[in-house]
Amino acid sequence: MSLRVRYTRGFLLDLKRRLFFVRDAHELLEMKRDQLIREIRGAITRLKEIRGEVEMEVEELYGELALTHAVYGSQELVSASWIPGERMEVEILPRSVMGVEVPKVKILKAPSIEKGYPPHVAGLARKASNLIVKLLEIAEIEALIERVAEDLRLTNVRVNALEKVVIPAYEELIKRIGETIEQSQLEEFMRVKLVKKALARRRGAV
Amino acid sequence: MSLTYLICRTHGYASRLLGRDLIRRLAASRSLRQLAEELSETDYGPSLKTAQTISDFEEALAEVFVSRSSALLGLAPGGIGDFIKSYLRRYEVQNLVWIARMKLGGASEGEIARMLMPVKGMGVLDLEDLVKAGSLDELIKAVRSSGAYRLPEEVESVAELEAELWKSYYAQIFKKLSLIPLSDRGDVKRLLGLELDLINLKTCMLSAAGKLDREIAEKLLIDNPAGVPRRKLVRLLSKGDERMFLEHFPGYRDFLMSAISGGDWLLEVERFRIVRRFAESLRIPKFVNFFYVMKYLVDLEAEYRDLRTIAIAIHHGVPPESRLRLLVSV
Repeated sequence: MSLRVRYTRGFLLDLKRRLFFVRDAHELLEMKRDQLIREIRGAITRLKEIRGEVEMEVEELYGELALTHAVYGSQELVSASWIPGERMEVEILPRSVMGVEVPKVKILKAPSIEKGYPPHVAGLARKASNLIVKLLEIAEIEALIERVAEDLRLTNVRVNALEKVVIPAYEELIKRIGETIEQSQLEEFMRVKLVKKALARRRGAV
Repeated sequence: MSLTYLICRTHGYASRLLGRDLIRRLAASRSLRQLAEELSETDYGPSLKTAQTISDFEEALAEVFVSRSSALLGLAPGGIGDFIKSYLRRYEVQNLVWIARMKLGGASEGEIARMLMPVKGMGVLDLEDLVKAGSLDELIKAVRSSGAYRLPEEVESVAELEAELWKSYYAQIFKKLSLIPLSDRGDVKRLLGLELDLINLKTCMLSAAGKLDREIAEKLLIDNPAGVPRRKLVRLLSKGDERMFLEHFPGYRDFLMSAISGGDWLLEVERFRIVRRFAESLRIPKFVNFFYVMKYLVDLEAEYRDLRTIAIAIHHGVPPESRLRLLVSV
Protein backbone atom coordinates (compact mmCIF):
# COMPACT_ATOMS: atom_id res chain seq x y z
CA MET A 1 0.00 0.00 0.00
CA SER A 2 1.79 3.08 -1.21
CA LEU A 3 0.14 6.22 0.08
CA ARG A 4 1.59 9.63 0.66
CA VAL A 5 0.59 10.00 4.27
CA ARG A 6 -0.56 13.37 5.42
CA TYR A 7 -1.34 13.84 9.08
CA THR A 8 -4.42 15.93 8.57
CA ARG A 9 -8.01 15.55 9.61
CA GLY A 10 -9.10 15.58 5.93
CA PHE A 11 -6.72 12.76 5.09
CA LEU A 12 -7.96 10.80 8.12
CA LEU A 13 -11.56 11.16 6.97
CA ASP A 14 -10.55 10.04 3.45
CA LEU A 15 -8.77 7.03 4.90
CA LYS A 16 -11.81 6.09 6.99
CA ARG A 17 -13.97 6.28 3.85
CA ARG A 18 -11.49 4.05 2.05
CA LEU A 19 -11.45 1.54 4.90
CA PHE A 20 -15.23 1.42 4.83
CA PHE A 21 -15.08 0.66 1.08
CA VAL A 22 -12.37 -2.01 1.55
CA ARG A 23 -14.44 -3.68 4.29
CA ASP A 24 -17.43 -3.74 1.95
CA ALA A 25 -15.28 -5.26 -0.78
CA HIS A 26 -13.96 -7.84 1.70
CA GLU A 27 -17.48 -8.77 2.70
CA LEU A 28 -18.54 -9.09 -0.94
CA LEU A 29 -15.50 -11.20 -1.77
CA GLU A 30 -16.27 -13.42 1.20
CA MET A 31 -19.81 -13.85 -0.11
CA LYS A 32 -18.43 -14.65 -3.58
CA ARG A 33 -16.03 -17.16 -2.04
CA ASP A 34 -18.87 -18.87 -0.17
CA GLN A 35 -20.98 -18.98 -3.32
CA LEU A 36 -18.08 -20.43 -5.35
CA ILE A 37 -17.59 -23.10 -2.67
CA ARG A 38 -21.30 -23.91 -2.88
CA GLU A 39 -21.03 -24.15 -6.70
CA ILE A 40 -18.05 -26.49 -6.42
CA ARG A 41 -19.76 -28.62 -3.78
CA GLY A 42 -22.86 -28.94 -5.96
CA ALA A 43 -20.75 -29.78 -9.02
CA ILE A 44 -18.74 -32.39 -7.11
CA THR A 45 -21.92 -34.04 -5.82
CA ARG A 46 -23.34 -34.14 -9.38
CA LEU A 47 -19.98 -35.40 -10.70
CA LYS A 48 -19.92 -38.21 -8.14
CA GLU A 49 -23.48 -39.15 -9.05
CA ILE A 50 -22.93 -39.14 -12.80
CA ARG A 51 -19.54 -40.87 -12.50
CA GLY A 52 -21.21 -43.65 -10.53
CA GLU A 53 -23.89 -43.97 -13.21
CA VAL A 54 -21.29 -43.96 -16.00
CA GLU A 55 -19.13 -46.53 -14.24
CA MET A 56 -22.13 -48.81 -13.83
CA GLU A 57 -23.21 -48.32 -17.43
CA VAL A 58 -19.67 -48.88 -18.74
CA GLU A 59 -19.43 -52.08 -16.75
CA GLU A 60 -22.81 -53.23 -18.04
CA LEU A 61 -21.94 -52.25 -21.62
CA TYR A 62 -18.56 -53.95 -21.44
CA GLY A 63 -20.19 -57.11 -20.06
CA GLU A 64 -22.72 -57.13 -22.86
CA LEU A 65 -20.04 -56.37 -25.41
CA ALA A 66 -17.96 -59.27 -24.12
CA LEU A 67 -20.91 -61.66 -24.42
CA THR A 68 -21.86 -60.39 -27.88
CA HIS A 69 -18.24 -60.62 -28.98
CA ALA A 70 -17.95 -64.15 -27.62
CA VAL A 71 -21.13 -65.34 -29.35
CA TYR A 72 -20.76 -63.56 -32.69
CA GLY A 73 -16.98 -63.47 -33.05
CA SER A 74 -14.57 -60.65 -33.85
CA GLN A 75 -15.32 -60.43 -37.58
CA GLU A 76 -18.97 -59.65 -36.95
CA LEU A 77 -18.24 -56.90 -34.43
CA VAL A 78 -15.25 -55.39 -36.20
CA SER A 79 -17.03 -55.30 -39.57
CA ALA A 80 -20.11 -53.73 -37.96
CA SER A 81 -17.92 -51.09 -36.37
CA TRP A 82 -16.94 -49.95 -39.87
CA ILE A 83 -20.53 -49.07 -40.75
CA PRO A 84 -20.51 -45.30 -40.79
CA GLY A 85 -23.06 -43.76 -38.48
CA GLU A 86 -24.11 -40.13 -38.45
CA ARG A 87 -21.63 -38.02 -36.55
CA MET A 88 -22.45 -36.35 -33.30
CA GLU A 89 -22.45 -32.57 -33.49
CA VAL A 90 -21.84 -30.42 -30.44
CA GLU A 91 -21.38 -26.73 -29.75
CA ILE A 92 -19.41 -25.34 -26.83
CA LEU A 93 -21.09 -22.26 -25.40
CA PRO A 94 -19.78 -19.97 -22.65
CA ARG A 95 -21.72 -19.78 -19.39
CA SER A 96 -21.07 -17.53 -16.40
CA VAL A 97 -20.93 -18.81 -12.84
CA MET A 98 -20.34 -15.85 -10.44
CA GLY A 99 -18.45 -14.10 -13.20
CA VAL A 100 -16.35 -17.18 -14.05
CA GLU A 101 -16.67 -18.30 -17.66
CA VAL A 102 -17.31 -22.05 -17.89
CA PRO A 103 -18.05 -24.16 -20.99
CA LYS A 104 -21.52 -25.50 -21.66
CA VAL A 105 -21.79 -28.40 -24.13
CA LYS A 106 -24.85 -28.23 -26.31
CA ILE A 107 -25.62 -31.37 -28.34
CA LEU A 108 -26.89 -30.26 -31.73
CA LYS A 109 -27.24 -33.73 -33.21
CA ALA A 110 -27.03 -37.09 -31.48
CA PRO A 111 -25.49 -39.89 -33.58
CA SER A 112 -28.13 -41.87 -35.44
CA ILE A 113 -27.72 -45.62 -35.34
CA GLU A 114 -31.13 -46.68 -36.51
CA LYS A 115 -30.25 -47.80 -40.02
CA GLY A 116 -27.54 -50.05 -41.31
CA TYR A 117 -26.36 -51.63 -38.09
CA PRO A 118 -27.14 -55.27 -37.47
CA PRO A 119 -29.71 -55.44 -34.63
CA HIS A 120 -27.40 -57.21 -32.16
CA VAL A 121 -24.83 -54.43 -32.59
CA ALA A 122 -27.36 -51.58 -32.77
CA GLY A 123 -28.36 -52.14 -29.14
CA LEU A 124 -24.75 -51.86 -28.00
CA ALA A 125 -24.14 -48.85 -30.24
CA ARG A 126 -27.19 -47.09 -28.81
CA LYS A 127 -25.99 -47.67 -25.26
CA ALA A 128 -22.49 -46.45 -26.15
CA SER A 129 -23.99 -43.37 -27.75
CA ASN A 130 -25.98 -42.55 -24.60
CA LEU A 131 -22.81 -43.03 -22.62
CA ILE A 132 -21.00 -40.44 -24.74
CA VAL A 133 -23.66 -37.88 -23.80
CA LYS A 134 -22.97 -38.59 -20.12
CA LEU A 135 -19.20 -38.45 -20.68
CA LEU A 136 -19.69 -35.00 -22.23
CA GLU A 137 -21.60 -33.94 -19.13
CA ILE A 138 -18.73 -35.20 -16.98
CA ALA A 139 -16.26 -33.19 -19.07
CA GLU A 140 -18.49 -30.12 -18.67
CA ILE A 141 -18.69 -30.49 -14.89
CA GLU A 142 -14.95 -31.16 -14.59
CA ALA A 143 -14.19 -28.00 -16.58
CA LEU A 144 -16.58 -26.05 -14.34
CA ILE A 145 -14.90 -27.37 -11.19
CA GLU A 146 -11.45 -26.61 -12.56
CA ARG A 147 -12.25 -23.03 -13.55
CA VAL A 148 -14.34 -22.21 -10.48
CA ALA A 149 -11.62 -23.68 -8.26
CA GLU A 150 -9.02 -21.44 -9.90
CA ASP A 151 -11.26 -18.42 -9.35
CA LEU A 152 -11.89 -19.53 -5.80
CA ARG A 153 -8.14 -19.64 -5.20
CA LEU A 154 -7.76 -16.09 -6.52
CA THR A 155 -10.74 -14.88 -4.51
CA ASN A 156 -9.30 -16.50 -1.42
CA VAL A 157 -5.97 -14.76 -2.00
CA ARG A 158 -7.84 -11.44 -2.33
CA VAL A 159 -9.94 -12.04 0.78
CA ASN A 160 -6.86 -12.97 2.79
CA ALA A 161 -4.90 -10.00 1.45
CA LEU A 162 -7.71 -7.63 2.46
CA GLU A 163 -8.23 -9.34 5.80
CA LYS A 164 -4.60 -9.81 6.79
CA VAL A 165 -2.78 -6.95 5.07
CA VAL A 166 -4.89 -4.13 3.63
CA ILE A 167 -7.49 -3.68 6.39
CA PRO A 168 -4.96 -3.93 9.28
CA ALA A 169 -2.65 -1.51 7.44
CA TYR A 170 -5.48 0.97 6.99
CA GLU A 171 -6.52 0.55 10.62
CA GLU A 172 -2.96 1.01 11.75
CA LEU A 173 -2.53 4.11 9.61
CA ILE A 174 -5.85 5.56 10.77
CA LYS A 175 -4.84 4.88 14.34
CA ARG A 176 -1.42 6.47 13.82
CA ILE A 177 -2.82 9.55 12.08
CA GLY A 178 -5.56 9.84 14.70
CA GLU A 179 -2.99 9.66 17.51
CA THR A 180 -0.71 12.16 15.80
CA ILE A 181 -3.61 14.58 15.27
CA GLU A 182 -4.70 14.09 18.86
CA GLN A 183 -1.14 14.65 20.01
CA SER A 184 -0.81 17.84 18.00
CA GLN A 185 -4.24 18.97 19.29
CA LEU A 186 -3.06 18.36 22.82
CA GLU A 187 0.16 20.21 22.18
CA GLU A 188 -1.84 23.04 20.64
CA PHE A 189 -4.14 23.06 23.68
CA MET A 190 -1.21 23.11 26.07
CA ARG A 191 0.44 25.84 24.02
CA VAL A 192 -2.75 27.94 24.14
CA LYS A 193 -3.06 27.28 27.87
CA LEU A 194 0.55 28.36 28.50
CA VAL A 195 0.10 31.43 26.33
CA LYS A 196 -3.13 32.26 28.22
CA LYS A 197 -1.28 31.79 31.54
CA ALA A 198 1.63 33.96 30.41
CA LEU A 199 -0.76 36.65 29.20
CA ALA A 200 -2.68 36.51 32.51
CA ARG A 201 0.56 36.75 34.46
CA ARG A 202 1.66 39.74 32.36
CA ARG A 203 -1.71 41.49 32.96
CA GLY A 204 -1.39 40.82 36.73
CA ALA A 205 2.08 42.36 36.84
CA VAL A 206 0.81 45.45 35.05
CA MET B 1 -17.07 -91.68 -54.92
CA SER B 2 -20.37 -92.91 -53.58
CA LEU B 3 -22.78 -91.51 -51.04
CA THR B 4 -22.09 -94.49 -48.75
CA TYR B 5 -18.38 -93.71 -48.82
CA LEU B 6 -19.13 -90.08 -47.92
CA ILE B 7 -21.34 -91.15 -45.01
CA CYS B 8 -18.70 -93.62 -43.75
CA ARG B 9 -15.98 -90.99 -43.90
CA THR B 10 -18.28 -88.54 -42.15
CA HIS B 11 -18.70 -91.07 -39.32
CA GLY B 12 -14.92 -91.19 -39.14
CA TYR B 13 -14.67 -87.42 -39.03
CA ALA B 14 -17.50 -87.20 -36.50
CA SER B 15 -15.51 -89.38 -34.11
CA ARG B 16 -12.93 -86.57 -33.99
CA LEU B 17 -15.44 -83.99 -32.83
CA LEU B 18 -14.84 -82.83 -29.29
CA GLY B 19 -17.02 -84.42 -26.63
CA ARG B 20 -19.31 -82.51 -24.30
CA ASP B 21 -17.05 -83.19 -21.28
CA LEU B 22 -14.01 -81.87 -23.04
CA ILE B 23 -15.88 -78.73 -24.09
CA ARG B 24 -16.91 -78.21 -20.46
CA ARG B 25 -13.30 -78.67 -19.37
CA LEU B 26 -12.15 -76.24 -22.02
CA ALA B 27 -14.72 -73.69 -20.85
CA ALA B 28 -13.08 -73.79 -17.42
CA SER B 29 -9.65 -72.85 -18.85
CA ARG B 30 -7.98 -69.95 -17.11
CA SER B 31 -5.95 -68.67 -20.03
CA LEU B 32 -5.63 -68.95 -23.78
CA ARG B 33 -2.38 -70.85 -23.26
CA GLN B 34 -4.16 -73.42 -21.10
CA LEU B 35 -6.87 -73.70 -23.75
CA ALA B 36 -4.25 -74.32 -26.42
CA GLU B 37 -2.60 -76.96 -24.24
CA GLU B 38 -5.91 -78.74 -23.64
CA LEU B 39 -6.50 -78.78 -27.40
CA SER B 40 -2.97 -79.87 -28.28
CA GLU B 41 -3.96 -83.53 -28.72
CA THR B 42 -6.89 -82.70 -31.02
CA ASP B 43 -7.09 -81.58 -34.68
CA TYR B 44 -6.66 -78.01 -33.45
CA GLY B 45 -3.29 -78.71 -31.82
CA PRO B 46 -0.93 -77.93 -34.75
CA SER B 47 -2.76 -74.74 -35.70
CA LEU B 48 -2.86 -73.44 -32.15
CA LYS B 49 0.79 -74.22 -31.41
CA THR B 50 1.98 -70.71 -32.28
CA ALA B 51 -1.22 -68.84 -31.39
CA GLN B 52 -0.60 -66.07 -28.86
CA THR B 53 -3.35 -63.49 -29.22
CA ILE B 54 -7.10 -63.83 -29.49
CA SER B 55 -6.87 -63.00 -33.23
CA ASP B 56 -4.39 -65.85 -33.71
CA PHE B 57 -6.82 -68.16 -31.92
CA GLU B 58 -9.80 -67.09 -34.00
CA GLU B 59 -7.77 -67.44 -37.21
CA ALA B 60 -6.51 -70.91 -36.27
CA LEU B 61 -9.97 -72.15 -35.25
CA ALA B 62 -11.50 -70.84 -38.51
CA GLU B 63 -8.75 -72.49 -40.50
CA VAL B 64 -9.39 -75.90 -38.93
CA PHE B 65 -13.17 -75.46 -39.33
CA VAL B 66 -12.86 -74.57 -43.02
CA SER B 67 -10.45 -77.41 -43.76
CA ARG B 68 -12.70 -79.93 -41.99
CA SER B 69 -15.84 -78.67 -43.76
CA SER B 70 -14.28 -78.52 -47.19
CA ALA B 71 -12.82 -82.01 -46.75
CA LEU B 72 -16.34 -83.33 -47.39
CA LEU B 73 -16.49 -81.59 -50.75
CA GLY B 74 -13.75 -83.77 -52.18
CA LEU B 75 -15.52 -86.93 -51.03
CA ALA B 76 -19.09 -86.15 -52.09
CA PRO B 77 -20.42 -87.57 -55.36
CA GLY B 78 -21.69 -85.12 -58.08
CA GLY B 79 -25.09 -83.77 -57.04
CA ILE B 80 -24.49 -84.30 -53.33
CA GLY B 81 -21.22 -82.40 -53.59
CA ASP B 82 -23.07 -79.63 -55.36
CA PHE B 83 -25.62 -79.48 -52.54
CA ILE B 84 -22.96 -79.47 -49.82
CA LYS B 85 -21.11 -76.70 -51.66
CA SER B 86 -24.34 -74.69 -51.86
CA TYR B 87 -24.91 -75.27 -48.13
CA LEU B 88 -21.37 -74.16 -47.28
CA ARG B 89 -21.81 -70.96 -49.27
CA ARG B 90 -23.32 -69.52 -46.10
CA TYR B 91 -19.75 -68.69 -45.07
CA GLU B 92 -19.21 -66.94 -48.38
CA VAL B 93 -22.35 -64.87 -47.69
CA GLN B 94 -20.97 -64.07 -44.27
CA ASN B 95 -17.69 -62.94 -45.84
CA LEU B 96 -19.58 -60.83 -48.39
CA VAL B 97 -21.49 -59.11 -45.61
CA TRP B 98 -18.26 -58.32 -43.79
CA ILE B 99 -16.66 -57.00 -46.98
CA ALA B 100 -19.72 -54.81 -47.70
CA ARG B 101 -19.74 -53.28 -44.20
CA MET B 102 -16.03 -52.55 -44.28
CA LYS B 103 -16.17 -51.18 -47.84
CA LEU B 104 -18.89 -48.80 -46.73
CA GLY B 105 -16.68 -47.61 -43.89
CA GLY B 106 -13.71 -47.14 -46.21
CA ALA B 107 -11.51 -49.94 -44.83
CA SER B 108 -8.38 -50.79 -46.80
CA GLU B 109 -8.00 -53.99 -48.81
CA GLY B 110 -5.50 -55.32 -46.28
CA GLU B 111 -7.82 -54.67 -43.35
CA ILE B 112 -10.69 -56.44 -45.10
CA ALA B 113 -8.59 -59.38 -46.25
CA ARG B 114 -7.35 -59.97 -42.69
CA MET B 115 -10.91 -60.14 -41.44
CA LEU B 116 -12.26 -62.77 -43.82
CA MET B 117 -12.83 -66.43 -43.16
CA PRO B 118 -10.57 -68.46 -45.49
CA VAL B 119 -13.47 -70.15 -47.32
CA LYS B 120 -11.38 -71.11 -50.40
CA GLY B 121 -13.29 -73.78 -52.33
CA MET B 122 -16.46 -73.40 -50.28
CA GLY B 123 -17.83 -70.55 -52.39
CA VAL B 124 -18.21 -69.59 -56.02
CA LEU B 125 -16.97 -66.00 -55.94
CA ASP B 126 -13.40 -64.81 -55.99
CA LEU B 127 -13.38 -62.85 -52.75
CA GLU B 128 -9.88 -61.50 -53.37
CA ASP B 129 -11.23 -59.71 -56.44
CA LEU B 130 -14.25 -58.40 -54.55
CA VAL B 131 -12.06 -57.02 -51.79
CA LYS B 132 -10.41 -54.86 -54.46
CA ALA B 133 -13.74 -53.21 -55.39
CA GLY B 134 -13.43 -49.42 -55.11
CA SER B 135 -16.73 -48.89 -53.32
CA LEU B 136 -19.80 -50.64 -51.99
CA ASP B 137 -21.66 -49.95 -55.24
CA GLU B 138 -18.87 -51.54 -57.24
CA LEU B 139 -18.97 -54.54 -54.93
CA ILE B 140 -22.73 -54.91 -55.37
CA LYS B 141 -22.36 -54.59 -59.14
CA ALA B 142 -19.63 -57.24 -59.19
CA VAL B 143 -21.72 -59.66 -57.10
CA ARG B 144 -24.79 -59.01 -59.24
CA SER B 145 -22.93 -59.48 -62.52
CA SER B 146 -21.39 -62.75 -61.28
CA GLY B 147 -24.88 -64.25 -61.20
CA ALA B 148 -24.00 -66.06 -57.97
CA TYR B 149 -26.61 -64.12 -55.99
CA ARG B 150 -29.80 -62.42 -57.10
CA LEU B 151 -29.76 -58.87 -55.89
CA PRO B 152 -32.41 -56.21 -56.57
CA GLU B 153 -31.53 -53.07 -58.53
CA GLU B 154 -31.94 -50.84 -55.50
CA VAL B 155 -30.22 -51.73 -52.25
CA GLU B 156 -30.61 -48.97 -49.66
CA SER B 157 -28.40 -50.15 -46.82
CA VAL B 158 -25.89 -52.80 -45.85
CA ALA B 159 -28.55 -54.45 -43.69
CA GLU B 160 -30.76 -54.73 -46.76
CA LEU B 161 -27.88 -56.09 -48.83
CA GLU B 162 -27.23 -58.64 -46.08
CA ALA B 163 -30.89 -59.68 -46.13
CA GLU B 164 -30.90 -59.96 -49.93
CA LEU B 165 -27.77 -62.12 -49.91
CA TRP B 166 -29.32 -64.46 -47.35
CA LYS B 167 -32.61 -64.56 -49.29
CA SER B 168 -30.72 -65.51 -52.42
CA TYR B 169 -28.68 -68.10 -50.49
CA TYR B 170 -31.73 -69.79 -49.00
CA ALA B 171 -33.64 -69.69 -52.33
CA GLN B 172 -30.74 -71.52 -53.95
CA ILE B 173 -30.28 -74.09 -51.22
CA PHE B 174 -33.98 -74.96 -51.25
CA LYS B 175 -33.76 -75.39 -55.03
CA LYS B 176 -30.74 -77.67 -54.66
CA LEU B 177 -32.66 -80.00 -52.35
CA SER B 178 -33.58 -82.02 -55.41
CA LEU B 179 -29.92 -83.09 -55.62
CA ILE B 180 -30.01 -85.11 -52.41
CA PRO B 181 -31.61 -88.53 -51.95
CA LEU B 182 -35.42 -88.45 -51.75
CA SER B 183 -35.37 -90.20 -48.37
CA ASP B 184 -33.41 -87.31 -46.83
CA ARG B 185 -35.01 -84.44 -48.64
CA GLY B 186 -37.84 -83.93 -46.15
CA ASP B 187 -35.56 -83.91 -43.12
CA VAL B 188 -32.97 -81.60 -44.63
CA LYS B 189 -35.81 -79.32 -45.72
CA ARG B 190 -37.17 -79.36 -42.16
CA LEU B 191 -33.71 -78.56 -40.82
CA LEU B 192 -33.33 -75.59 -43.17
CA GLY B 193 -36.92 -74.51 -42.50
CA LEU B 194 -36.30 -74.61 -38.77
CA GLU B 195 -33.14 -72.58 -39.14
CA LEU B 196 -34.97 -69.97 -41.24
CA ASP B 197 -37.94 -69.86 -38.86
CA LEU B 198 -35.59 -69.06 -35.99
CA ILE B 199 -33.76 -66.39 -37.99
CA ASN B 200 -37.07 -64.77 -38.97
CA LEU B 201 -38.52 -65.02 -35.48
CA LYS B 202 -35.37 -63.44 -34.06
CA THR B 203 -35.86 -60.51 -36.43
CA CYS B 204 -39.54 -60.25 -35.45
CA MET B 205 -38.83 -60.37 -31.72
CA LEU B 206 -36.14 -57.71 -31.99
CA SER B 207 -38.61 -55.51 -33.85
CA ALA B 208 -41.44 -56.20 -31.38
CA ALA B 209 -39.08 -55.32 -28.54
CA GLY B 210 -38.40 -51.98 -30.22
CA LYS B 211 -34.78 -52.82 -31.01
CA LEU B 212 -35.31 -52.86 -34.76
CA ASP B 213 -37.36 -50.62 -37.00
CA ARG B 214 -40.48 -52.47 -38.26
CA GLU B 215 -39.92 -51.40 -41.86
CA ILE B 216 -36.36 -52.70 -41.79
CA ALA B 217 -37.47 -55.88 -40.03
CA GLU B 218 -40.00 -56.57 -42.80
CA LYS B 219 -37.25 -56.25 -45.38
CA LEU B 220 -35.02 -58.61 -43.42
CA LEU B 221 -37.60 -61.42 -43.30
CA ILE B 222 -36.69 -64.29 -45.60
CA ASP B 223 -39.19 -66.48 -47.49
CA ASN B 224 -39.37 -69.87 -45.89
CA PRO B 225 -40.82 -72.64 -48.07
CA ALA B 226 -40.39 -75.14 -45.22
CA GLY B 227 -41.70 -73.18 -42.29
CA VAL B 228 -43.73 -70.17 -41.20
CA PRO B 229 -44.75 -68.12 -44.26
CA ARG B 230 -43.24 -64.66 -44.47
CA ARG B 231 -46.63 -62.97 -44.87
CA LYS B 232 -47.83 -64.43 -41.56
CA LEU B 233 -44.80 -62.97 -39.83
CA VAL B 234 -45.34 -59.60 -41.53
CA ARG B 235 -48.95 -59.63 -40.30
CA LEU B 236 -47.89 -60.39 -36.72
CA LEU B 237 -45.10 -57.88 -36.95
CA SER B 238 -47.58 -55.12 -37.73
CA LYS B 239 -49.24 -55.77 -34.35
CA GLY B 240 -45.91 -55.10 -32.63
CA ASP B 241 -46.65 -57.33 -29.63
CA GLU B 242 -44.14 -59.93 -28.43
CA ARG B 243 -46.90 -61.99 -26.79
CA MET B 244 -48.62 -62.54 -30.14
CA PHE B 245 -45.61 -64.57 -31.24
CA LEU B 246 -45.77 -66.65 -28.08
CA GLU B 247 -49.41 -67.45 -28.83
CA HIS B 248 -48.82 -68.30 -32.47
CA PHE B 249 -45.61 -70.28 -32.07
CA PRO B 250 -45.86 -72.35 -28.88
CA GLY B 251 -43.24 -74.73 -30.33
CA TYR B 252 -40.65 -71.97 -30.12
CA ARG B 253 -41.67 -70.84 -26.65
CA ASP B 254 -38.21 -71.21 -25.06
CA PHE B 255 -36.59 -69.38 -27.91
CA LEU B 256 -39.13 -66.57 -27.80
CA MET B 257 -38.85 -66.33 -24.02
CA SER B 258 -35.09 -65.79 -24.34
CA ALA B 259 -35.88 -62.91 -26.68
CA ILE B 260 -38.25 -61.38 -24.14
CA SER B 261 -35.80 -61.81 -21.28
CA GLY B 262 -33.30 -59.68 -23.20
CA GLY B 263 -29.77 -60.34 -24.39
CA ASP B 264 -29.67 -60.59 -28.16
CA TRP B 265 -26.67 -62.87 -27.90
CA LEU B 266 -28.79 -65.40 -26.02
CA LEU B 267 -31.12 -65.64 -29.03
CA GLU B 268 -28.20 -66.48 -31.27
CA VAL B 269 -27.01 -69.23 -28.92
CA GLU B 270 -30.53 -70.57 -28.49
CA ARG B 271 -31.03 -70.62 -32.28
CA PHE B 272 -28.00 -72.87 -32.76
CA ARG B 273 -28.98 -75.06 -29.84
CA ILE B 274 -32.45 -75.70 -31.29
CA VAL B 275 -31.09 -76.52 -34.77
CA ARG B 276 -28.47 -78.79 -33.27
CA ARG B 277 -31.04 -80.53 -31.05
CA PHE B 278 -33.21 -81.17 -34.09
CA ALA B 279 -30.27 -82.68 -36.02
CA GLU B 280 -29.35 -84.72 -32.94
CA SER B 281 -32.92 -86.05 -32.59
CA LEU B 282 -32.61 -87.70 -36.02
CA ARG B 283 -29.13 -89.06 -35.42
CA ILE B 284 -30.11 -92.72 -34.86
CA PRO B 285 -32.76 -93.15 -37.60
CA LYS B 286 -30.52 -91.29 -40.06
CA PHE B 287 -27.30 -93.06 -39.10
CA VAL B 288 -26.54 -94.24 -42.65
CA ASN B 289 -28.30 -91.46 -44.52
CA PHE B 290 -27.15 -88.24 -46.11
CA PHE B 291 -28.82 -86.40 -43.23
CA TYR B 292 -25.98 -87.65 -41.04
CA VAL B 293 -23.59 -85.55 -43.17
CA MET B 294 -25.80 -82.53 -42.52
CA LYS B 295 -25.79 -83.30 -38.82
CA TYR B 296 -22.01 -83.48 -38.93
CA LEU B 297 -21.86 -80.06 -40.61
CA VAL B 298 -24.16 -78.61 -37.93
CA ASP B 299 -22.01 -80.18 -35.18
CA LEU B 300 -18.86 -78.91 -36.81
CA GLU B 301 -20.13 -75.35 -36.85
CA ALA B 302 -21.35 -75.69 -33.25
CA GLU B 303 -17.90 -76.90 -32.20
CA TYR B 304 -16.16 -74.07 -34.07
CA ARG B 305 -18.48 -71.50 -32.53
CA ASP B 306 -18.08 -72.97 -29.05
CA LEU B 307 -14.28 -72.95 -29.20
CA ARG B 308 -14.28 -69.40 -30.54
CA THR B 309 -16.71 -68.38 -27.80
CA ILE B 310 -14.54 -69.96 -25.10
CA ALA B 311 -11.41 -68.23 -26.42
CA ILE B 312 -13.07 -64.81 -26.57
CA ALA B 313 -14.73 -65.32 -23.18
CA ILE B 314 -11.32 -66.12 -21.66
CA HIS B 315 -9.89 -63.04 -23.39
CA HIS B 316 -12.59 -60.84 -21.82
CA GLY B 317 -12.34 -62.50 -18.43
CA VAL B 318 -15.91 -63.84 -18.46
CA PRO B 319 -16.21 -66.10 -15.37
CA PRO B 320 -16.08 -69.85 -16.21
CA GLU B 321 -19.59 -70.48 -14.82
CA SER B 322 -21.02 -67.83 -17.17
CA ARG B 323 -19.22 -69.25 -20.20
CA LEU B 324 -21.39 -72.37 -20.28
CA ARG B 325 -24.47 -70.23 -21.03
CA LEU B 326 -22.78 -69.09 -24.23
CA LEU B 327 -22.08 -72.54 -25.58
CA VAL B 328 -24.17 -74.37 -28.14
CA SER B 329 -23.10 -77.95 -27.51
CA VAL B 330 -23.18 -78.01 -23.69
